[in-house]
Amino acid sequence: MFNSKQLQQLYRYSFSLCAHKDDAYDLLQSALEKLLKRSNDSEYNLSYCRTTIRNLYIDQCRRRSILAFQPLEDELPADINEHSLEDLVIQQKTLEEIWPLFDTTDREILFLWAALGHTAQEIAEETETARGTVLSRIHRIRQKVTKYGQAVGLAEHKEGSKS
Amino acid sequence: MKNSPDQKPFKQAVNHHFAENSLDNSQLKNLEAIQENTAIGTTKKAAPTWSKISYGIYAIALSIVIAVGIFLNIGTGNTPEQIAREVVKNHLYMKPLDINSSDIKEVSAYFTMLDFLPLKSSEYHRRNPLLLGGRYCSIKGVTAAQLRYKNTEGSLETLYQVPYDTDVFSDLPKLDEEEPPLVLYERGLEVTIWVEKGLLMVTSRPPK
Repeated sequence: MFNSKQLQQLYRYSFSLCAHKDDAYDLLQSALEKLLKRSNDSEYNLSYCRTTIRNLYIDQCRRRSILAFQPLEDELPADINEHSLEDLVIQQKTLEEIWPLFDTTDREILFLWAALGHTAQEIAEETETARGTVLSRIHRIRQKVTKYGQAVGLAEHKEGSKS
Repeated sequence: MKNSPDQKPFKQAVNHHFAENSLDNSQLKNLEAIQENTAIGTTKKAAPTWSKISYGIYAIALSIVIAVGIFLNIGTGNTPEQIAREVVKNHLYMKPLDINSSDIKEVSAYFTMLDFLPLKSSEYHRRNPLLLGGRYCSIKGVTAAQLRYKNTEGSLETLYQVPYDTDVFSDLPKLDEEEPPLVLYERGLEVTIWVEKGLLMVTSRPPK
């Protein structure tokens, strides 16, 4: 059984996909019901529950003819690494303003990276995506943050902020 | 670029964003109750010597779930509109059915976790819809049966059935007392609410 802290974590993962509070709650409830119906209690863990939430979300989007996870259009940039988000600094208010720019894949990666501390390899394994694609996504997130941050003069690199 | 004292590491700001979005107490309690009262592997048969005990524990647990649902929903405003919003949202999602059958007896028999028997509503079946199947759902936190039909025009309709309690669902039209069903509109769908044989019945369908 998941405790309240774990349920909150799963809810936030649902929220990272749905970006809507009520939908996130419904998604989590459906996932729990689905897991509980199964006869294998070894599947009743956080990782498996996140996978169930993700699959249910994809099913929901398919039924509503919505693309759940947006594909990448361009080639992977050559100079990226998984720590490229680590040196960014930002005001909370600015992040909230930027947040609508993030699509479902961005939000999922941000949750797995920031809330769970996953590496690019771990994110790739959990989302069944190539590591290079995850790195490319991280690069895009960084681009969005720095582009918007430069526009309002609030997001920058730590080193830049020291100068 | 100017340095701002309000700036923080990006990771910290992202974590703060997610931490701002949490389950409220009633949602948390509902989810905990679902876990507590739905044993993993309910599809497995219990050992014969324990079966009666298991059913007894299960019945008590289900009662607790319903009681918690009722407790959490007492006095929560304009109930028919809340019911309409909830069922329309479920209708639009069109989650997969747990059981596919056009036989109401077979569908009713599937709902072993309910403490009531889903009925063939006389009010609803005057329209002669085709039953497609059913799934579990909830209305205002109370576990309900969701039956999906195709009407004579080919549109999908949903009929929800749940034990009627005035404390939870407020005073609603009772068919047995010859009160006409309540009709509301939500997100472009027609929602009809009535009480029949002790069950709250709610349908959602595209308007004519």
